[in-house]
Amino acid sequence: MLARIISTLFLIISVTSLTTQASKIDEIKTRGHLKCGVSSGLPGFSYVDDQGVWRGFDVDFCRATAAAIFGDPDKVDFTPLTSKTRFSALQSGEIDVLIRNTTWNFSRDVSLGLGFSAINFYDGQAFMVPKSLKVKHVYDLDGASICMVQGTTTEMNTQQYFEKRGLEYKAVYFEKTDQMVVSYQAGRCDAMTGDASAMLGLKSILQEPSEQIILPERISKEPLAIMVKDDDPQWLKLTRWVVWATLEAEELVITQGNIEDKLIQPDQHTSDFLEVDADAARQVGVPVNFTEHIIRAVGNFGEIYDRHFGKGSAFQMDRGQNALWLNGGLMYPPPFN
Amino acid sequence: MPYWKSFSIQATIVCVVLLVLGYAIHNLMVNTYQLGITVGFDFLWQTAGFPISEQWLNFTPKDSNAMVWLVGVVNLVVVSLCSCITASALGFVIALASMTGNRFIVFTARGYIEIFRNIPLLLQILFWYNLWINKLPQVRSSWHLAYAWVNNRGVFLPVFPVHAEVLLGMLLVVLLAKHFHKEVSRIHGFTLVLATVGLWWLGSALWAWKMKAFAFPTILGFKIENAWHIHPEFIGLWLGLSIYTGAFCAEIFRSGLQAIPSGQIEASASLGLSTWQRYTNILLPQSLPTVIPPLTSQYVNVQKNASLGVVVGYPEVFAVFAGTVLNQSGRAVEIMGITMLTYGVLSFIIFWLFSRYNQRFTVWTSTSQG
Repeated sequence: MLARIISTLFLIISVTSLTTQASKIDEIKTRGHLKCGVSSGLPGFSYVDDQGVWRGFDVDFCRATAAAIFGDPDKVDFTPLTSKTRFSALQSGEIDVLIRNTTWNFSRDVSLGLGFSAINFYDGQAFMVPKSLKVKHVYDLDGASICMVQGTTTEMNTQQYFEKRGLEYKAVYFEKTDQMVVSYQAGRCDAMTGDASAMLGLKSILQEPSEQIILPERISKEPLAIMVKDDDPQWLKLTRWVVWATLEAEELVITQGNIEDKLIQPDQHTSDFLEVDADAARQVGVPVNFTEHIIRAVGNFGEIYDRHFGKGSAFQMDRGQNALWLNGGLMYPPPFN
Repeated sequence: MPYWKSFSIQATIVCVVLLVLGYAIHNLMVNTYQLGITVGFDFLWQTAGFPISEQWLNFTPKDSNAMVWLVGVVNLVVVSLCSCITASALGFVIALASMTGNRFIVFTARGYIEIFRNIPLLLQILFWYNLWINKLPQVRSSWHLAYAWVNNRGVFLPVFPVHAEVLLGMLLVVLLAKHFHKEVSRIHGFTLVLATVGLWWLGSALWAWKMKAFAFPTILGFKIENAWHIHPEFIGLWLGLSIYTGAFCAEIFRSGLQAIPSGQIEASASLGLSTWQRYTNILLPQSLPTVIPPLTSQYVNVQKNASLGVVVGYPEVFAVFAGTVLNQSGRAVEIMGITMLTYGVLSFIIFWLFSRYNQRFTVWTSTSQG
């Protein structure tokens, strides 16, 4: 008897906990804003400016996604996350999308119940050292103490690089970037390592940026990508096409400034892009002119890059691998027809 | 209360607890399955792939994730043990100081207690750590204290060879003596072991000195070789934990000493005992039953608070296992489960050891008073 009651209880519980899966896009629309997970503070990628507004490369992709859905780039709630908490925040549904310089790799892609949608930045691991050490290459750092942030791909890449060359090093792992920078600056470590873009960003906030150099080697491939939960493929696809929309716009030379003109007499490619197939748009739950909303809100990929890393920023970073394929880079958006 | 009634109440409570637990586990299984997350412990035997600089075991990046856990636990135990010892010693001294008649000393002791127990521990750890790495000299201009080097990379002590087999032999002799020798058998086992280890260590050092087998720190490129390296991460965490917990321990010792009836002090004074005798023979033993239970809680707190070492990069179990390994493998549920169990078991061991220890005193005081 008791066994039957308990088993019935379990049945009821398990049935009630199997809530019906509404699509993510409907959920976001009902809520009225997008919940976007970003880095808690990484110059260039995501930070809060002195007016209390979120700024950065990743932040702009959150805004672009909100613009695609609502036509309004400000309907975003930003959740700052550490590298340790980012995946569970996405798994638990605390955020809708994770745009937080996350490296796309096999194990993360297949075993977390999460999926990568598109690469928005090609990065690689680099080392920063004080000029006074007179170190020219990473392999000159035999026996050095190296500061890094724990819970990243950095730890393994460093180990593999040094092991392959029979070199030694002492790793000091920090939970947060801030403390790592403080320790590096105090001379606790000889070098500091992380993604090249992050190193460039951190260099600009050190006391004497001109006294620091970033060594030429890039010891890893770090394709930074956008991540969503695995359970709704349409949502994954939408986040992917938002990134590709910014790239396609750059390819078609559509900018925030000239979009009005482009709308007047568009050629075939441009009109395919600015007014996508209505059926297809309905499938992912966005209006036919969602690309137009994106470009009006944040501009094309080149504009976003220049604003945060390139000419419009303190970093003056070249496009490198992040240039369009037409210009010798790796950015190659699929067509919008 | 009749037997059946108390039994049925207990049985109901057990059932409810089991049901809630069962529901939680069931819910977890259903949800992880729906999310497509696999649950399993195979990751424990995978290669870790990253080094840990502070270690007592011989850990290499080729070892498994399970070894990372073990290294983390050992680091946790080491820093907790060191902090508990210094916090207790500091607390005891401050307690005595706060009970002297001298106004200046009492004021200083009270000031220490009120300041350090009211500042969040996290800030204190960051303070000591950043003070150390910022204010101490760089490696090339290290302070040389006797044969040790002190710089912002930590403390580098000379090393000398030790022989574990000698220690084993010594321990064997001591244990035999405890078993057969009447005088020795009265000494507490723990004290004996501690004294033996100390003697062995000191003896090894003296022997190494005589044989000129001491190795002194030397700089070789970026490396400092021939040295026993104590990292600033350890020092920062240890100082923070000791000084913070010391303030609580001081109050515990003070309350324990003040709980003893003043008649005891007057009686010992009229017997003509010296101050030293009064403390070691009358006050301290009688205060232990009141002191040990709250002190145990402090020790458990130290062990749990040690996880704050993650902010200064001290590689204990929370930082390396629930941090790096979690991120490499993505096994949040399993790793958090293991980590919680680890802290739970360690806390339980501390409680169990001290409740056994305390029982001896409680029995002893109640019989001696009765």
